[in-house]
Amino acid sequence: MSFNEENIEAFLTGKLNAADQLAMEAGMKNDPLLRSEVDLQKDIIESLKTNRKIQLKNRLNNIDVAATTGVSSAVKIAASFITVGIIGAGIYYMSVFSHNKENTTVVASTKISEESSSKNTADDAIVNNNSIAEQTTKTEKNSNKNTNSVNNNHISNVNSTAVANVPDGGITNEDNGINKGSTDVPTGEIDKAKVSTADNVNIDFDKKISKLNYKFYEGKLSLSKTFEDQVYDVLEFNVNSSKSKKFYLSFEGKYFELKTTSSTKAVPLKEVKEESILAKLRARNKK
Amino acid sequence: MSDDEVIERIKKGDERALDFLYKKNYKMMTNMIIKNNGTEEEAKDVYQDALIVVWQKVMSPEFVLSSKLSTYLYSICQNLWRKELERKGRHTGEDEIKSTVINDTDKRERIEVVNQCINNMGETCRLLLSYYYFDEMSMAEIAVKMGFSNSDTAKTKKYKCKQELDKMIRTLYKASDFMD
Repeated sequence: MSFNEENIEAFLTGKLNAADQLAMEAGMKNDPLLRSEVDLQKDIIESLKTNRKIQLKNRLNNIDVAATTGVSSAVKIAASFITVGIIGAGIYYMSVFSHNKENTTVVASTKISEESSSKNTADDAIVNNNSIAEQTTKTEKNSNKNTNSVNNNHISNVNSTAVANVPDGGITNEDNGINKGSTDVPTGEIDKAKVSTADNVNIDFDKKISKLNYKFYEGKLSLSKTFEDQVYDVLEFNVNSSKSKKFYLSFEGKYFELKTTSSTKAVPLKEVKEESILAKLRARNKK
Repeated sequence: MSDDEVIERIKKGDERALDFLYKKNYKMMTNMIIKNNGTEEEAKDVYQDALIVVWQKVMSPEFVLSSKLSTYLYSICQNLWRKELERKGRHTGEDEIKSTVINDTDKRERIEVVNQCINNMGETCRLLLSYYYFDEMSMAEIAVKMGFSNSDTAKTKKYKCKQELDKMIRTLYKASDFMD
């Protein structure tokens, strides 16, 4: 048997027959060069194997086991879901009516209700125009209605951040930061878009649930978590480049990304760790 | 997915079957380790190792399942954890660790070079060599998995990839030798 590449590999992968195996071992004893070559090849093969193992382990590490273990059954307790239909502050542009009506149509609605009782999907009347300027819409917890009218005739492009303060009763947020971007609105302007939430909602929290889970389905956001008396905010951002929206939940000084990819299953919230995003969120939340 | 289906998929190198097994048995396996003095982190790590052992075993053509797949996985998990406990028990004294570390300095350096080269390889080559050496897939299986026209193509490709890797390692290894 010659001590060539092929046989060295066969030796290292256990494919040599017993006699050749012995011959190889004897050869290594007598020839330091052969020995070092075998050693090198052994290291190469071992490293390739380790590399693959790490790859597989990384794959497994990325699997979310939480959803399949204990938490999932708890999450299914539908009573603990609040549905926050942050349909944001879309603006309906109806210039046709602008001469006939003082009040144009529904602008935005934020709904908080139990999932079971709420069948509100994205309101048909809402048109989210391209995002250009930055407008902030703050939620007020002051209305029994889910919708609000906006006194505005020429609205076309609005970017909004809807903040829903839930479920502490009776807090009224001052309108701050609204209008600050109005100069940037090229084709129209907006005075303010007040978004209301219902305050006569019976929110039934399940005390057993300590983990934050959420799902985003058909334009509705459902959260599961007992927030006790603490305030959480839902921040909505328009992403100019992709004309899409991004949602974040802020709670106890942490931020969580709410992915809007529809899912019928509740999944745990992922905390935002990236500093650049965090900085933006903090800045936004302070306003 | 039944055990047979899972096995069939693993044999084809379908990693999704691994994901499935992982999720399905996670709680049971990690609980076993946690109850036996393991931390959550250790439990996860050992369970993953056990699952990868199962993956490799199932891949081999001689594999025959004589029990439920979860039972099999459980026993491997148990064995690995037992070994880990023994290792931890042995290594409470520092002496042994030191001696192995010193002896391995040369080897470590070489392995570093090898790993660097593996990471510099193209994705196709890296996967191909992984499937060949770690998963021990046959050339025919590799051809199917990687979309090559036949096993000969896979074989040629594997040869070229390995040559390329060897060459890279030799060049870099010699260079690092001169550095010393």
